[in-house]
Amino acid sequence: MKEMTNNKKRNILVVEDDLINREILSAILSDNYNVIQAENGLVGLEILESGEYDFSLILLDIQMPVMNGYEFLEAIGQIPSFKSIPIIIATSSNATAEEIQCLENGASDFVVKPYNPDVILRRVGSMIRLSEASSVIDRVEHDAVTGIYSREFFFLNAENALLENTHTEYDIFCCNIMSFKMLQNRHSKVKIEKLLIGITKALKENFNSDSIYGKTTSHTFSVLTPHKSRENYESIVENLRNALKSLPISDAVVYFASYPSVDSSVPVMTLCTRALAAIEDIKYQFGKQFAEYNSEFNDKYIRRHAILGFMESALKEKQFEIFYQPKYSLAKGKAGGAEALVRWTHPELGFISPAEFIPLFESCGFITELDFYIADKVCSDLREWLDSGKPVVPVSCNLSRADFSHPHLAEVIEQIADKYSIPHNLLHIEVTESAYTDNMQVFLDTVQKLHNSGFCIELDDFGAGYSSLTVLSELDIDVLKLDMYFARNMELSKQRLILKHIFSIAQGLNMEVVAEGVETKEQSDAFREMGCTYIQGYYYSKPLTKAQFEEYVKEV
Amino acid sequence: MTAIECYNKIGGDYDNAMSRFKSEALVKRFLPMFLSDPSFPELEEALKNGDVQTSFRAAHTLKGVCANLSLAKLCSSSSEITEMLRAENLDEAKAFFPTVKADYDATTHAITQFKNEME
Repeated sequence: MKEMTNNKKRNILVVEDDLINREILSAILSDNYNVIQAENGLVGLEILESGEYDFSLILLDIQMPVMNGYEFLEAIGQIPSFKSIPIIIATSSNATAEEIQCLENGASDFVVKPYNPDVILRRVGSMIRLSEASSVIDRVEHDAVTGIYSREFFFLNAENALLENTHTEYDIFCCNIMSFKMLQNRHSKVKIEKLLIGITKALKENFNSDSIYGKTTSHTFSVLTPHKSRENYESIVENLRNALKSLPISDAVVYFASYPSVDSSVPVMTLCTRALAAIEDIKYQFGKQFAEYNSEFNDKYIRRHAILGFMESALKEKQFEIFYQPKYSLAKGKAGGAEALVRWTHPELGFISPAEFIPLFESCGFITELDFYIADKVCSDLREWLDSGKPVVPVSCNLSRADFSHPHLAEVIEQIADKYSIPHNLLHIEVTESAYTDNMQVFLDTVQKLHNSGFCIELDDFGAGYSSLTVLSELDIDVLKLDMYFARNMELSKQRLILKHIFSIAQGLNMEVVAEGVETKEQSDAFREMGCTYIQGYYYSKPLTKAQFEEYVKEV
Repeated sequence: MTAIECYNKIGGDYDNAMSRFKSEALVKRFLPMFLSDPSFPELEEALKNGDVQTSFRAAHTLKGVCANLSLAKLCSSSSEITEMLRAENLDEAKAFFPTVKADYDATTHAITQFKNEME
């Protein structure tokens, strides 16, 4: 917490080893300022680094034990946020050489012992005014911590360079510190600043002198630099990553992107945005920390924006269609249920794969609206089948991991089912383990609520990714859906062994098992042998339209 | 003993002190603090050990404190020894030290008396 006591008096740090001198200075200053005393340079530095006070000025003695004035000047010269604090040296009258050395080392002015209160108050006052006025100007042009151009000035200078050197091919290089807010919460201001300074230093060491550097957001650095090859960037990134390891926050994750051969007619801000978009693309790919922006990426980026732009109208215009993929009951020899899947055909973009739009909808939260829409459509279809006396099987709907941030998820599902008076056992809910890892307690509570209201819970994609057996013990799961990975790798004896154990666990916990992605008779037979209840996959049926599904249920 | 008498006795500059502190209350507050100032004992100890750096720093501090308290006579002798030590002239400083010590003893003696009477 910043000290703002004494009616917002400015803080002055007095670094002086002699108690009498300190007390005299305090007596002189304390009417107008809040004085904090340090008995040597090291203590002074500790007070500064604690971040407890924002200092307007430092009064510094030179001859001190432990850490003298010169060492103190040198130490704080390394920390840019302290560099801007004006320092007045308290010196003896006949020590000109001392004064000059101090002024060279970053001190702003000096006062001579014995202290004359009028002189000191006047010097201190004018020095603070001067520094506050100049820092306002400088802070606009340069980033206060790293000293490189601030956002607007980077764009301005980069654009000038592009205009002036039309024969030079330029690239934009960006690096982005991930989860910066979290790092700020976890680490001290001083450590964060050292990280930012360290990155700046590493960048400057790895780029030519004719590069222009900018701090374009709180956690983004941008460089305009003459064109380099991809290999060149890869080795630069390697160097930067090595340099990062020695910084105070060694676990900071930093991503890099280059935008080679930029079009100088495009505003630099847009160029940076595109480079950062390239980073977005690799963010969740393990082990990848460098991306290169290219036109193919641009197309992808534009398409994503189109998809996100169209999604709401698509929902209104009922472009999302429900398909039912039967779950074939091995015991009954007919459909024992179905999974509701969504298909999207856009009038302009054509067929868009769920693998493409679902992650996008998840990232923006729209998936929850879509999931509710699907549940509503499914319940409406179930109602129709019930009313017409057609055979009815339970249908499962998927809940995305993103849905669990909805505060009343279980209640909304219940309302949808009740709106059509659907017996809850006809609506199954498919959840994935990934939701469990996001927010365990919310997930457990919500799933339990749904289960208690009579909905069957199916655990989807079991065995893929981060499977954990604890989720089975903590949740009332009714149906285990084996990831299609198992069907595809059945010939591996290890897989078979694992499957055998999964089936015995399922049996022990009273769960039915659905095998997904089954495409051949061999696979189906193998699962049957192991005690599988349902088979879902192309071997029995592909996803069907409503009308096709009605036929399928009737016939099989 | 009044403050002015004390200053006169030890070759101090009372007017200078008053021109800066502007109140006798402050003079009275700061002057007795000199008795517990560690710079002279440090100087004495460091000289005995032949430690030039520490001697210099202590002499320098002593000089500064004396200047601030307008203890002119002691300020002058401690200033002289400071310059000898700045030049790393240990023998010269050791030879001169008794002068500083005499000024220091006279100063602390008078201030002690002043302080006791004040109480």
